[in-house]
Amino acid sequence: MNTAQLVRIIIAKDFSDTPGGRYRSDGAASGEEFREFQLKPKFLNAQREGTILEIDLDGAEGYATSFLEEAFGGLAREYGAQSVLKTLKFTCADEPLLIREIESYISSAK
Amino acid sequence: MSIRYWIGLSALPLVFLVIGWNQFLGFRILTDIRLFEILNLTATIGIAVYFQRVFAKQQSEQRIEKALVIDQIKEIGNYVGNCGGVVEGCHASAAISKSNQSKINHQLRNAANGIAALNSLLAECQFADLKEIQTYAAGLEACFLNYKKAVTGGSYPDKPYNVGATADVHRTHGEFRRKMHSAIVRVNRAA
Repeated sequence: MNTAQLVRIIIAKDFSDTPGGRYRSDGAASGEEFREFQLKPKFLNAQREGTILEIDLDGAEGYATSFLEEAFGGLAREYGAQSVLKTLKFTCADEPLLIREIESYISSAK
Repeated sequence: MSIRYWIGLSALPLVFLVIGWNQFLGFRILTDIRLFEILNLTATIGIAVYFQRVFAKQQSEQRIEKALVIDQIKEIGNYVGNCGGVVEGCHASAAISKSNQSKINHQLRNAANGIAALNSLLAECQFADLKEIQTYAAGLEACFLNYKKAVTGGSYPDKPYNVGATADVHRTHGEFRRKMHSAIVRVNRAA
């Protein structure tokens, strides 16, 4: 039985409900900013404690490929796809296809 | 008038011909009743009527399922097409406004949810070649993700679509459309 504790980031609430583009230099609420200030610290914490980090994608207006690739693909480039896929769990009732999309960016991150 | 009426009507001359043949060429129609043959004939007609009804029901159900699947695929195509229109506008004005960004996000989300709905719908359908149709749906999803990458990848939404980016959008849109047409034709031919 998986007894790992669940830590959650609700992107629309904890970061922005209108996520932007790729880099911080590109404007507000970028994927890079999300990765550096929200995702990475909680990901490392979850890894250290052996817990699952749940990413709740609901409530935002929509996610550009540039944002998703930079945030999650960028994390996989730094810590490896397997480790990211093992630690992160995604939920998205607004757009279920997003989960497969993000997982593909993580798996193909180079 | 129904087809049965016309079949019955056109069979009448044949009946008269057989009776006439018997009358004038000396053949006789057997008038004694054979119970086994009557039962045999009744069973044959019963089986024929039963199968005709079963197949008609199956065909009608499959026609409804095909129409639903095709409508769903067309709906996805409409969302992708609408998104293409907004991208054209952004390219023409050399900027991606907040309002257009919002429109692009909504159209892409609707299309993505349309693909999810298509997958659920296919899981409910009872086509004999369902696996092959599901492969077409997976291909459509892959083409959609390529299109989404072309529209919202790179430096979206902060830099306008340049000529190269617009060409990429057109190319991936064309690939999506071709895949969509193949999927519709395949569904239409489904057994």
